[in-house]
Amino acid sequence: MASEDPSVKAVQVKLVLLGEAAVGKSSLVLRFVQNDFNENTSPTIGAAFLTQKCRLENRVVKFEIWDTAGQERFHSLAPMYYRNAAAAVVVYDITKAASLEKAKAWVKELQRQANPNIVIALVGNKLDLVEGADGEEASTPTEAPEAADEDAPADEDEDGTPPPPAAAPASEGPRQVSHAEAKAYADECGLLFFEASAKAGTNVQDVFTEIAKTIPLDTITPKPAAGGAQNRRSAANAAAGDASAVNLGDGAAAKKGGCC
Amino acid sequence: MLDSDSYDTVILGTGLAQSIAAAALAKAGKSVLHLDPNEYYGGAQASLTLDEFATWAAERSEQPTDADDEYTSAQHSRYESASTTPLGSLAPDRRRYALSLFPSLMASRGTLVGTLIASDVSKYVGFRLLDSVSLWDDAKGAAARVPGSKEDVFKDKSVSLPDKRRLMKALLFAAGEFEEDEVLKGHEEEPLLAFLTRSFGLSQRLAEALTYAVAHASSPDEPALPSLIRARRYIRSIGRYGPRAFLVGQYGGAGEVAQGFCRACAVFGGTYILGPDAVPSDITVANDNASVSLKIPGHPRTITATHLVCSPDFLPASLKPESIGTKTTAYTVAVVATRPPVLAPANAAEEGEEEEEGDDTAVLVFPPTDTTPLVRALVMGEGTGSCPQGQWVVYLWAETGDVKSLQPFLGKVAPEGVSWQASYVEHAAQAKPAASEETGASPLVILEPYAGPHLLTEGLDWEAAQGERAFTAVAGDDEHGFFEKAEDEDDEEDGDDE
Repeated sequence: MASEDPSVKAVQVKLVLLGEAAVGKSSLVLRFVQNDFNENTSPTIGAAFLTQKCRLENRVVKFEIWDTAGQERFHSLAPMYYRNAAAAVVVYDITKAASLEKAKAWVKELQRQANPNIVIALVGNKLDLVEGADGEEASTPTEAPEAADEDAPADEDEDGTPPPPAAAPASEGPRQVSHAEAKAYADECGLLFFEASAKAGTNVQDVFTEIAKTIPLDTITPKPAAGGAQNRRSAANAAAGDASAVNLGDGAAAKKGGCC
Repeated sequence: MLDSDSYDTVILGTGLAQSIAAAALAKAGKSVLHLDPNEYYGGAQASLTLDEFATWAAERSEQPTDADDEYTSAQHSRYESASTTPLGSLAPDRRRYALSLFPSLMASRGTLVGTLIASDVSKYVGFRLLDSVSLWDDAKGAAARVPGSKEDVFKDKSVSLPDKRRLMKALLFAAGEFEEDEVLKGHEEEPLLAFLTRSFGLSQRLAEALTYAVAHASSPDEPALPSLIRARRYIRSIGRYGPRAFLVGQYGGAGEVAQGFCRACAVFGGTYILGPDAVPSDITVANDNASVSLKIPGHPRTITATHLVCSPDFLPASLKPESIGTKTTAYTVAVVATRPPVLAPANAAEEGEEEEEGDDTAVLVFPPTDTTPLVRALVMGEGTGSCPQGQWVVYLWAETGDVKSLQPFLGKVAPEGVSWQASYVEHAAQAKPAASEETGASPLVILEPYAGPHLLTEGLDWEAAQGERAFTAVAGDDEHGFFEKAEDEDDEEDGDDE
């Protein structure tokens, strides 16, 4: 792919998406991965997971982004979904108060099911629907980067030209969740917090960049997942991949015949 | 509430076979509604946490009532004497365990491995090589590793040179095209153990090793031909992914694999409901045999489907297949906090060498005696994701209705005692195989649960074969084959793995 610094090895990080249906989980990922927005995304179909790299000054984080594939609807997400996830993005819709309550329930579920070190980002989506209405307050990102060009969160598909902010729309969808309320909840639970717009692209990169910065990389399990993060074997084998672990689709290994 | 009242296929239970069928059908473009009355995935193949296992056992030892639904009452007749010890000091970490109801291994050249690769579900699940297979030596009171491959035989210091030659000859025979071999002709039905002793001059000890730890037979009387066919598949599995034949699945194996197929089904549009909202009732086959209807608490109207795929456990008596007997197996699952001796390093460290850290997984077979049946043990360490560091999970099972009879064997695998234990007896109904399952002849596709004597080495491949059978029964001569790649299908995953 594009210019890559071979001295920096990408660290693979599993990231799971959670949130009520229609809050824009898939749109956020589409914006992050392809810098695209599709007005009529149908409920997620077809992708096992998407990957996207996030370059920081001293590391490259390769996100493996798992979508719920609709399994959240009847609360039938399998334990496998949470397994070894190092990060989670919990999304709500700032124009729907009930969706924040749902998001809180997902945060609880993550605290119950997931790795205790998981980095959780709470994201209020659809900022574009209220930007015209409540102006400055909403458009100021909470976790504003200290210096804009300190670590441009570039991935290879993006040339550092973020899409222009959408023209302020009419305030048809009034804000139902105040920035302060969600921020207070996020602070209380130790979550990263952003308001974003998948449609306009506002703050989307920042969500993933901030997660990449926050993840303690020494606790990440290698893939394929072995044991747990504290696993002695996996720790010893982390660099070369777990020696005992087997890649089923490995063609080179598959070519060899039986030995007897 | 569901979006629709009608589906191409409704699938009951998230066991491995059902989940494979679900993923394959969704991928082929069928609308799939997948239901499981349990709160967890995997059905009879589930991987459970400690607290889930305790609930599982408690529910199955409750008194049955007339109000029970079909599935609940089938569970009551299937499982007996289910009990668990208190969680005690393990309680805080209870969710870090993955204990399987289906202790099993995957042969590297078996059916399931092919299905995992074809479906891409291999991306979701992890496997590692089984470290060793041992046979219990009663005279020594210890486990002895069984050399399963040519290399193993060369390295083994406990076998004399003439015995090595005989053993090698027997292994080469079992790995080859023996069907037409004069050595076997006329002796296909002879018990394997006797056949090996007689034809290859093997000692009783080595013949037992081949019978129980290479062919993984369950009794000395299993006939030679089918046992050798099995052994050949296992021997030929060596080398595909490393120097041993079998793979151990992460996080309990079968249950995790079932979750992977369910996720694949969901990714292709399948709908999932688990728990009380998904308990089916009023399962009815339409008079014209063209559809099935059923109700669930989670949807206000009757649901109809062109096909219903399920195990006999879900069906009312009028639709159940004829049972031709049951196979009774006693199981015990234990968590231990001391490394089981069977995992000790293969060769004691020589002077100056660094001490090996020991194995993570092992199979230990106790050959049958005059008074005890064959007992199998499967040991899994932290590397399999089954338990926290410094602990091990031991599965023990045998064809007996007396679960207490396993206790002395547990003492041999884990002489330092156990931290937690679950025990139960399973009566697996052997259903009469469906006569002729012509495509479209019946809207009901009934999966056969595994009820054979080789759960450890054949159970997963059985499930995979049942899953494919169900797919074919539903999809028939559809333009989409079993996990066939569509021609214009892009690999959804990125291709930039450097």
